[in-house]
Amino acid sequence: MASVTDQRFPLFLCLLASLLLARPAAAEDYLSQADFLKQAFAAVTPEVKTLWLNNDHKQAATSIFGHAYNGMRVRYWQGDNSRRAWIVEEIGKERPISIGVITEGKEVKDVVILAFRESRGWEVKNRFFTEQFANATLTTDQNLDRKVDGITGATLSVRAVTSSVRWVLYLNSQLDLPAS
Amino acid sequence: MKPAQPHRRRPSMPMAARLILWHRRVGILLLPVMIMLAVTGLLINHSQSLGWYEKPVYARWIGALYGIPPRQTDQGFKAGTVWVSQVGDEIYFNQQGIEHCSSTLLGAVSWQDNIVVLCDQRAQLRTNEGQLIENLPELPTNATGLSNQNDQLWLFLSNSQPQWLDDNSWSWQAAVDATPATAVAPQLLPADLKSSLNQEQPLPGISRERFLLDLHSGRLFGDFGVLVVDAASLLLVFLAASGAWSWLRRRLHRQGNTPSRRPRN
Repeated sequence: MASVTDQRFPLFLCLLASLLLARPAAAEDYLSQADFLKQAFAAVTPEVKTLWLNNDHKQAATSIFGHAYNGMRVRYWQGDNSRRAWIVEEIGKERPISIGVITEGKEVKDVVILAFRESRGWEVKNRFFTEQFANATLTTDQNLDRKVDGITGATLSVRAVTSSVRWVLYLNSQLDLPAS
Repeated sequence: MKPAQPHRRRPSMPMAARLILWHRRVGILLLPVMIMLAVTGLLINHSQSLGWYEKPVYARWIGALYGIPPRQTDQGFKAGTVWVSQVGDEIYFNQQGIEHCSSTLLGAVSWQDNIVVLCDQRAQLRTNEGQLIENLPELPTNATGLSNQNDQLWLFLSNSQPQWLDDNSWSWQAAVDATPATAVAPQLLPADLKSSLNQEQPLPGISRERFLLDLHSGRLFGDFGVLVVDAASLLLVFLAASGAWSWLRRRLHRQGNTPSRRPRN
C-alpha cells in the first residue's frame, strides 16, 4: 500500500514545477491608454489638457511622494461633467508604474494599473486592491479618507499607487470644477 | 707556478645565525608587501565611514587591470544647439549628465523649442537645460528612433510604420500620408566635447572599497597576485616564528651566562 508521502509526491512535483516555471511579471502592459480612456469616457474621448506645476504643487508632491516630483506638467483628460482621467507614473522600487486614475468631483471613481515594469509587486494590478480606492477623497492634510490595506511582498508598489492616487486627488482639487 | 689549492669548504654557519640571516632577508623582501597590506587593511577598516563603498574609481589603468575597456563615445544627436550623447549609462546634454539610461540612446530631436530623448523604451520631453518636462505617452511597440518633420514628432518602430504624436489626443497615431524616410542618425561629436566627455569616466561597478579589497587580497593582479599575497602571509608567519625563537634563544642564553645575584649555598 502506498504511503501518504508517496501519494503526495506527484502533487509536490507539480508544485515544484510551477514554482520553477513561474516568471515575474516584468514590463507588462495591462491596459493601453486608449482602452483606459474608453473606460473613463464611454462615448468620445475628450482632448487632453495640461496642468503646469507651480511651486505649491511641487511642495505638495514632495510631501505626498516623499521626494521631489520629476516633471513640470501633468496631462489629464476632462469630460463634459466633472469626470477627469489622469495617467501618472511613480517608481515602486526601480521602475515606473503607470497608473490610471479616474476622478469625478472630489472623489476617485476608479484606479487601473496600465503598465507594471518592476519584477515584484505586480499584485497591485488586482481589482481587490484597486477597488479600495473607489470613492476615496482627500483630507485636508492630503491623506486619503480611508486606510488602504497593503499586500505582503508588494509594499513599495502599494506605497507608489497610494501616493499617486493622493497626488491625483490633490491636483484634481487644484482645478476649478466646471459649473454643472 | 703555484700548485692548485684544494677546494676549501666554507665553515658552515650555526643554525641560529642562519635563521637570523634569513629572518633579515625575508623581512626586507616582505617590506613592500607588508606596507601595502597594512595601508590597504587600515583603509578597508574605515571605508564605510569614508563612504568609499560607493565612491567610483576613475583611473584607466585600474580599469585595464580589471579588464574593463575605457568607456568611449564619439557620437551623439544634435538637437538644436544641444548635443545629446550617452557615456556608459548616463545621458548627457552637452557636458552635463542628465539621466540614467541602461539601454542605448536611440535618438534625440528638437521639438517645440524643447528636446525629446528616446532611451530605455521611453520618450521624454526635456528643456534645453535637461530638466524633465514630462514623459511622452507610452510607446506603442519597440521604438528604434525619432524624427521631427515640419514640427511633427515621429516615432520609428521596429515592426510597423512610423507613428506621430498627436498633441490633442496625447497619443501616437499611425501615419495617413507620407512618413519621414529615416530617423535622425547620430553624428560625430565635436572634438572638444568628445575629449571632455571621455575623460574621467567612472569604471562601472568598481568602488574604491572594491579596489582596496582586491588589492589587499592580490586578486587585482589575478592568480599571480593571490599567490604573492599567500606567500607573503606564510613568510609573515615565518618572520614571527623566527623572530620569537631568536629572541627566546638569546634571552635563555643570556640568563644562562649571567651569574646569579644570590650566592649559591
